[in-house]
Amino acid sequence: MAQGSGLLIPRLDAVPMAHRLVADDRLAVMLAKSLLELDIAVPGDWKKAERDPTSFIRVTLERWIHAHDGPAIRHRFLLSAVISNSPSDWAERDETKSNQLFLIVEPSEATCGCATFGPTLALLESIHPQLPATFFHLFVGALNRWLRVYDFRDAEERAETLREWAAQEPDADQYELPDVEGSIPPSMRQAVLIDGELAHLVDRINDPITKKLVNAVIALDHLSAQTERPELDDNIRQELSDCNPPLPCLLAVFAEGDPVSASFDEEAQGMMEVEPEPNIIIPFDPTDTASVQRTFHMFGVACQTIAAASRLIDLMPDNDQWIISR
Amino acid sequence: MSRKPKSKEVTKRAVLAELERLRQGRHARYQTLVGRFARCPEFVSAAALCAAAVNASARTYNRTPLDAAPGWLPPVS
Repeated sequence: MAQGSGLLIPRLDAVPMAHRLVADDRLAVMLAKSLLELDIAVPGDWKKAERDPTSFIRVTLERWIHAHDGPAIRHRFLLSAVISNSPSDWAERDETKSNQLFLIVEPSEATCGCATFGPTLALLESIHPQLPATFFHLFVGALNRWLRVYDFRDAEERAETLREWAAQEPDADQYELPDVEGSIPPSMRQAVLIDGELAHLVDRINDPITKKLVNAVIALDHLSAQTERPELDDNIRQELSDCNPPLPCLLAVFAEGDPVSASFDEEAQGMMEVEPEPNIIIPFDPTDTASVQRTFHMFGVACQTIAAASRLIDLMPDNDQWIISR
Repeated sequence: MSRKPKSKEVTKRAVLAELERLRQGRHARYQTLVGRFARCPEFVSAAALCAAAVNASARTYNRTPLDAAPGWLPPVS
């Protein structure tokens, strides 16, 4: 280099500053193409992703989540969405299905959201005796279509298992078991209102907060049922057979520190002993635009359902805590 | 009036064309030696086999012999 009058930084014009190679990015390339053809991906993101198909897909996924109420989801839930070629970290790739990818959603950092139902149920009971159970089952049922919710039924099941174990011990009466049954509000034992009855009742509710709560839970139920999750075939089920059940994404308690919450805390200690199954697994073919469109539509419905649940928890009395991001 | 959508469409077409080149392995990034290596499963598995063989042979021929117990005759090769 010729000597100059001062310091010179050599310039590497037209020389790429970074090279990134993925051994087999065929499926990523195909998916990136399908996403762009479907206008799910935005061409401008190609440059942002440094012209890398895998990064382009990641940016598109983030954009899709944001467009489907991502901020509301992050308010109460800490979840991660990835596209992978196997349904779980432990599962081996099915070589017979070379064009298969999976859209996977699971809790990130094993963090679970929480909702307290007790005060809401008491408020609803003052309107109609069957309204609390209806509200609870609509809420949990809608969210359970997409994410696992840990509620009093899981706690009762665990208490029953503990009772069976204790019964085999010589000093069975010495064991103190959580009184899950005693913590369940009596209104939860009532039958659930059917659709027509509920619609008729909503019209007669005068209290604006209660009306808002009931309308929001009906909307949540309708939103969640817009599409169904695909059934996993036997091969995928086989690959997941050694996994633990999915990690709960929401803990539904009646009061803070109640036996349902205590039961969850105890059970949570063993939930990660074996790799848990992801909450959402949507298998799809990246080379088939119809399959990609179906998958992203399904994922959009899941996002909007979770966001609607997050907003509904905001409306429920005494749920000012458990907020993950404002 | 139609300027913005048209420019967006051109970008989309350009990105799709680049992705198509990537799909066919004709993209500039695959024209390097490393690029051709990474795209070829036979190359990759041959290299993995060689690496495993080198590791295995290192384990086989790099043993540290244990000292014979006192009073024992040394091994005769």
